[in-house]
Amino acid sequence: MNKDFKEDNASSSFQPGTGELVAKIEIIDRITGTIHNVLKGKKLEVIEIPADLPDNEIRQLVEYVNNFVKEYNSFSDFMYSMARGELDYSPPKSSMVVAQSFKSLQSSLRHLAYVTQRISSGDFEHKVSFMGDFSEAFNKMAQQLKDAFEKIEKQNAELKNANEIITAEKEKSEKLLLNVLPLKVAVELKESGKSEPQLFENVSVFFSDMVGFTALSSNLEPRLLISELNDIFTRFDEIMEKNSCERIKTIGDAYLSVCGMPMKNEAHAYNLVASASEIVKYLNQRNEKAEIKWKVRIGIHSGALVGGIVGVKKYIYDIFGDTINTASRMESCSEPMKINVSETTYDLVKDKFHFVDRGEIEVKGKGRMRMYFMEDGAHE
Amino acid sequence: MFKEERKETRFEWNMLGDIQAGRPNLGTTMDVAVYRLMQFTLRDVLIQKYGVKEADEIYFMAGEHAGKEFFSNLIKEKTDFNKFVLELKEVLEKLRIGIMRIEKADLENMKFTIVIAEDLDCSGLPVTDEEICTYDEGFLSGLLRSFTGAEFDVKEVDCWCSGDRVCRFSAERKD
Ligand SMILES: [Zn+2]
Repeated sequence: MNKDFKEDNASSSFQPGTGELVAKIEIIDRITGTIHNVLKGKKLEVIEIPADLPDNEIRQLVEYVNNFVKEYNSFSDFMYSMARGELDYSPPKSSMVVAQSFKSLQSSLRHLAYVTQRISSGDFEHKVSFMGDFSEAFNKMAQQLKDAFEKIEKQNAELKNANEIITAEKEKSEKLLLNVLPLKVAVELKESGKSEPQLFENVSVFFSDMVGFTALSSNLEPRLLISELNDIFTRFDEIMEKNSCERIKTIGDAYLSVCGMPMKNEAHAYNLVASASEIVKYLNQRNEKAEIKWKVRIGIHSGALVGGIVGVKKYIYDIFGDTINTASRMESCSEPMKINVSETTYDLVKDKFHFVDRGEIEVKGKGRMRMYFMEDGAHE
Repeated sequence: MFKEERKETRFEWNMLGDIQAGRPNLGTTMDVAVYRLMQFTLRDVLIQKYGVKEADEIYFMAGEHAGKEFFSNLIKEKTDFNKFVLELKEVLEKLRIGIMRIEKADLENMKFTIVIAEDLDCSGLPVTDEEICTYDEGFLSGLLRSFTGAEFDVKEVDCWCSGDRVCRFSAERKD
């Protein structure tokens, strides 16, 4: 063979003999005692060999019993440690079938521990093969874990997807809220869930109306009418925004905007009159090409007002107070493509623009009020 | 090709030939005893000519060479250690070389305990208190070296011949 296969090297080789032999009772008792301890689960002890024991079959028997005691003891320790789950214990060298079987069991357990670790780190492909019932049970468990894991992964992906949709929708609704509400109010509403009405002392209010709208609208197809207003008011919005003014609402063909609220703005009157001037310029330009020639009537007044959210389900930010009524009167007292401002507004911006004094004009419910046409926007 | 003098390897995988074509009736497999007949007669002659130590060295070197060739020709996974182990186990089973089981894998320190059950070389041999799977030691060393690029000490600590039911190898990266 490949190397010298050594003979079984147990301390004494078994030598069968013949004839009869007398043994001391004490020795026989010690051997019986050892077997007794094995059966009773007691710890085994090596039998002391008397010095005068002749080198015969009795001595050979005692030596064999002692070898067994040593292997049995170390094997017991090994088994005991394994029973406690200590897989690191070094198994004793022994050719006994029981010892070998337990060593195989330890090997299988170590391997199972390794594969379990792999699976627990998500390596579901690991399988146990040729380990009898272990293999089937374990591999079934691994497969089920894999299926469950994949299911969860799938659900997670769906959840993530749903979350993304919700986030996008939330962003959309926040953007929408911003379209409806002034930024400051929208933020307040988002953060605290409510927005208290607030008094603003120095604000300018812009009112505009389309001249002859009622007559025009009865002749125009509604869709075209809306598209026209949409086009014009979109541009109005842009002009207002550019000048730090804010649209409050449109009512049909009327357009209401402010400056100086909710954020305070010293130049509220200037900004709003400048916007009005730009709007008139824009419409003049538009009318050069457009089929339908729109004319606007503008009124501006400055003063105090209250702003706040109206409604619970449908938020509408609105403004209240006599200032708005007066601004509306300025508009109704205006003329096509002219900007009519009250004396209050005039006083705030008279150094910045040219105005024509219109004198005092009778205002419904208010008596006589002094008004001014802004000159800049007064060309037709 | 086969019989040229050489100082370095001339082995190529295609030297194994097209067995399917060459053995249409007998097929690609044969009895394990025949493989062992070759293993142990060769060992016998090598020991006679060069002694036990030299013979062992020759076996280890041949095994290591085989491990490298095995890795580059039969193993696909070249990066993920756990997948590599998985694939190796499957290939070893498919080729009926043995049933590989990992008892311990310390990737941080590159220390492994690998068990081969029903090993091709030794399972069923007479018990002699010797670990005789030197070829397997080299084979595992070649595989690990090919995969990691590092050198490994591979030692068979239990063998069928030493009275165990499986062959157990400890593998550790050389510092
Ligand atoms: Zn072996």
